[in-house]
Amino acid sequence: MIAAVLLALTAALCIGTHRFLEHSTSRLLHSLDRADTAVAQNDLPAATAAITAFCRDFEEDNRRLPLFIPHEKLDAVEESTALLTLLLSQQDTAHLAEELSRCRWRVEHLRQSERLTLTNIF
Amino acid sequence: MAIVALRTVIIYAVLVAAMRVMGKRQLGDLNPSELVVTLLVADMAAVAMEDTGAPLFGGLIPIAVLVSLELLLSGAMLKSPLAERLMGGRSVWLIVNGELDRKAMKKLRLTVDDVLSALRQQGVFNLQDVQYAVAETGGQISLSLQPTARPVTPADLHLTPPDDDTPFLVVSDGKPLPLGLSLSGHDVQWLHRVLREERCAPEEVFLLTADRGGRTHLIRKGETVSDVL
Repeated sequence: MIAAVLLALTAALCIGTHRFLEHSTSRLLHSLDRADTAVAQNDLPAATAAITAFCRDFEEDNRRLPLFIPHEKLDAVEESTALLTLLLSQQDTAHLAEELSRCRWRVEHLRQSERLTLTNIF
Repeated sequence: MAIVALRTVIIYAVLVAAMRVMGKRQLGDLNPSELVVTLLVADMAAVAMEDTGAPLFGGLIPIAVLVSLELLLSGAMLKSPLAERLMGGRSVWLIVNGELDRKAMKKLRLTVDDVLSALRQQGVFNLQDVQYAVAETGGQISLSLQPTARPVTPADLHLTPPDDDTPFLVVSDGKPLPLGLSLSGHDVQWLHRVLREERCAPEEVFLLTADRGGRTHLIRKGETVSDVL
C-alpha cells in the first residue's frame, strides 16, 4: 500500500513536472521565435514586445523550474534574458539576433534534456 | 524527473542482480536488495544534501522509488516462494556430520579457511564437533554441534532450574510504563504503593524495574553510581 502510494506520487510528480516544462518551454520558444522574426525584419517595437514577454514568462516560470531543473541550466537562460534586455535598450540588432539564437538553443536544450529519450536515460 | 526515476529503476535492478551474482561473500546480515537500497539511499541522500545546485527533488525522487521498489519486492518475497528464492537466495548446507560439502563451498566461493574462521568465531575449533553448518541467506553461518560436543544443559542432568524472573522497566524518567507494569504482573496501585514505601514521587524516579516476584530496583534522578553502591 505504502509502495503503491509512493510510486503513484512519484509518477504524478514526474508527469506534472514534465508537462509544466513542456508548456513553459513552448511558450518561451514561441516568444523567442516572434522576437527573431521581428529582429530580422528590423521591427524593433515588435522585438521589444516579444523579448519583454519572454523575460516576463521566464521570470514567472523560474519560481517553479528550480524545483526540478538543475539550477545551472536555468542560470544560463537567466543570463541570456539580462543580455537581451541590455542589447534591446542599446538597439544593437546584430548582437540581439546572435543572443536570441543562443537563448533559443539554451531553452531548447532545457526542454530536450528532460525528455524521456533513450539518449537521456542512458 | 521521469528520467531520474527511470534511471533509478535501472540502477536498482542492475545492482540487485549484481549482488545476487556476487553471492553471499559480499553480504553481511542484509539480504541483497536491502543492501543495495541501503547503499543507494545513503549515497543519494548525501548527494541531495551536498549539491545545492541540484533540485532536492532530484534526490528525493530516487529515494522514494527505491523505497517503493524495496517494499514491493519484500511484499512479493512474502507472498511468493519463487520471488523469495530469486531475490533472497537459499540457505546452503556446508557441513553435515563434520564433513565439509566442497560442492556447496565452491558454489558460494568459500574457502576452507573462510568456513573454519566462521566456526572459530562461534567458539568451535574442531570441525568434527559440528553436526550441521548452514550458510544462511543473510551471509552468516549457523551451526549445530554434535551431541557429544554440546555444553551440558539442565535437561541433560534431568534438573528443573527455578524460573528466572526477568526484570521489566516500569518507570522510565518519571513516566510509568503500562506495558512494563503489565508484563511484570503489577498495576498502577502497586506502583504507587512501592513509591510510597520508597518515599519517592514518580517524577523523581529515573528508573524503576520490577519482576513478577515483586523484586524492584529503583534509581532516583540525580543519583550517582557511588550513591547506588
